[in-house]
Amino acid sequence: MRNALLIFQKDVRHLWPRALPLLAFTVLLAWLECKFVGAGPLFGVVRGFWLLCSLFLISSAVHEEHLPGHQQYWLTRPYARRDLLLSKGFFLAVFVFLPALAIECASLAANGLSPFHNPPRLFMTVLIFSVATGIVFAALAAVTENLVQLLWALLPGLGIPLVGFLNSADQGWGDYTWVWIAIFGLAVLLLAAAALTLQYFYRNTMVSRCLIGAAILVVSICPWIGSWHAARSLFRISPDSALIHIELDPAGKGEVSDVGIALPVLVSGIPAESEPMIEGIQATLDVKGGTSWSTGWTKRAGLSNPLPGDPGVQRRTLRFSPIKDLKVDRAVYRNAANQPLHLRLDVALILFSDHQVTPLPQSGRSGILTDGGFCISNPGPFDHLIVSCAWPDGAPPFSDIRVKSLPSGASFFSFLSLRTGNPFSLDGSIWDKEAALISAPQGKLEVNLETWRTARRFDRVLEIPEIRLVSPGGLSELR
Amino acid sequence: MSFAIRTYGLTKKFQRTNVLNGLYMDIPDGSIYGLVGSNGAGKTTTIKVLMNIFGPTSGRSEVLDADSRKLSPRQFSQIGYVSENQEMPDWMTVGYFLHYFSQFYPTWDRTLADELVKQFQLPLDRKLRHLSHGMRMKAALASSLAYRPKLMVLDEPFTGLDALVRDELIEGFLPRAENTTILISSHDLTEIESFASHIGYLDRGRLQFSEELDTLSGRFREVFVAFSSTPRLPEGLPASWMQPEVSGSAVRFIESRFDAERTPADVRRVLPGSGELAVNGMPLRAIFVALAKSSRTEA
Repeated sequence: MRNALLIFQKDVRHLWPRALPLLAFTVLLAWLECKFVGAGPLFGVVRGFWLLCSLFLISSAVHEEHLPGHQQYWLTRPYARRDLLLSKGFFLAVFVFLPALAIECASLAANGLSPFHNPPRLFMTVLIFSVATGIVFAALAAVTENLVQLLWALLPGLGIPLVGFLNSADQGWGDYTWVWIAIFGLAVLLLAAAALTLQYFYRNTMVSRCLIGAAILVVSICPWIGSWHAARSLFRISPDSALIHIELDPAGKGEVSDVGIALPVLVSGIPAESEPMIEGIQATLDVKGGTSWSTGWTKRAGLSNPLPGDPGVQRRTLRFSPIKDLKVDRAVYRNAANQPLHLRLDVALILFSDHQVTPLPQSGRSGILTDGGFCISNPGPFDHLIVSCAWPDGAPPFSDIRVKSLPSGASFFSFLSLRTGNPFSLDGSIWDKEAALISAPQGKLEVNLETWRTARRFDRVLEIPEIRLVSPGGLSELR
Repeated sequence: MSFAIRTYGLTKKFQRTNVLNGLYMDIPDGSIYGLVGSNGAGKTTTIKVLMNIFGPTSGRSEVLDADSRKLSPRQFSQIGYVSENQEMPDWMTVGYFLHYFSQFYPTWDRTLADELVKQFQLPLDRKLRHLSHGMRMKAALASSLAYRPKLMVLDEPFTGLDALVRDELIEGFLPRAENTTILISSHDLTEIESFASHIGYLDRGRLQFSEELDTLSGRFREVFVAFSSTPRLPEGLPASWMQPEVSGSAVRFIESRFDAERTPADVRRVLPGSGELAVNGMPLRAIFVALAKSSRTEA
């Protein structure tokens, strides 16, 4: 321990000028967090520079006693490898972890909350955005001799995963992206920590580089691994009531066009005080004795899907057209036309309850809400209102903003957030932020934040043994 | 006899190249052991394996009674290592360099460190990166002598130094290393000859011999055998005769196992009709050149 402190003191003595840019960005981040809870595009840019500065500083500290090579002075000095690793850990803690922790604590305090309001979330946020990235940076530095080598290593290190992300843009996990980040981030962190430990204790650069390569590979291929529905299954809880049914809506009317099918479906049996919403849907068409075709899971954003609390939706019964917006493959459609088909609809549903309504000021900042968050209302362009909310414990599972014009009585509704229980935010700030732009006529307004707390996720299957798509050439009815 | 360093069949391969080929070497406690050999013979690799900078491919070695693969801070606090091409923390001043390392060695002798600084005329306030090569070597040596190590390992310490600096280095460290075992690899055989007690000759990763310098100097002789006319070298010359050649009316060779009685008898037996015999002692440098040439001829 004593020798670790000696090495740490030596590193500080040499590297303090290189810590100045990081400290400057730390101060700027702290100001953005305290003043704006990290909202706005500037936060992302500053966070990016902060990460670059921390990469530079951490790699400098590791390269002080670089591990690859055979001419380093320290190899024949009484340095215990454990002390050497510990000294770099001190450096990471003092220059990266503690400032990151201080930023979030200051931000909580500046916004009227105790710095230790939610220690697990605080810990997770700081862990992921400073310690984990610091360990990955340190591992990269540990298998290189200097900054130039490190930058060369970063080219494939960043380039390959980037190509992976670009090629898999349509495989987004939507609201479950944090699950993807947690799982693959943990894999990368473990590989990086293994490489770091191996390198420090055994100086086996080849094997350590292979581990780093494996970590890069994990990041590169992970966008293709898993799926939205697989991630969702981690959170699926069957509702107590088995009364929720899905069936063809007898009152609905089916429509077929050349690009899609509108099929009236009715979900009924929804418990009182609950609000349903479709998270995703998958339709599978089987031509009897022939081919099968599936739309794949299409998420909420791709559906004509009523939101909970939408005044236009009839309560207790959810009617929707599940595959209206699903693009049916034209060739499949033409082959399937006029033939008996088997249709299976897999519907991923979510049920909200614990509805709460919190009044917000028409202009300015609200007080601390019951869940620790707060909202700010500001006039927007063209008779609109911008409502920004931030929650230190994560946004509610579902929230929306409702505005009622008191002079006219007209009501307006805007979706605000849908969350899956993220234990950390995705931008490195402890605050989970959302904003909505909503119509707001001139005059006195009643502004409310409506939230639903409890979310239950479940699937329902609707089997239609035989349907017949009648087209092309003007056929537009569903039998 | 106890040994500061022992190796047992040490082998080191870099990819497919065998740099060390089953090296057996014993360095007695208190000796000044000169490890010599031509370029690529494996001197630096041997030292780096001993210092656990490289792991051996096979075999093992002991340094201060510890397995070299498991050298710990405890052993390194008793070992001084100075290498010609060693990286140094260039940003440090000489003063901070010495102060920093003083904290790692329980036996650091501040008075001795001050003496070394004075003797080597080290500028305490100058950064290492601004020192000449000679001054850097002096700083490295001072930082390795000040804790009175049991073992000093010097890898080509005189390379690139002028004669004056070499003398200063030798004068600086020899008197302060009386109870220290010294392993020194060098091309500067003239210097080594002046203070080494033992010599090991390394060739293509094998130790060809390892013995006390006095014994070595005693057994190598340059022999001239005079003839009345130009002689012919017969087949089957003794194996210990190196580089035999006819030069005018004389035969010249280097006897690697000289014996005042046996060698003249061998000459008379192998070279009938030989006349006067002249035997000259050889400096280490001449022995090294002869060995190197002989080795290349065999290769």
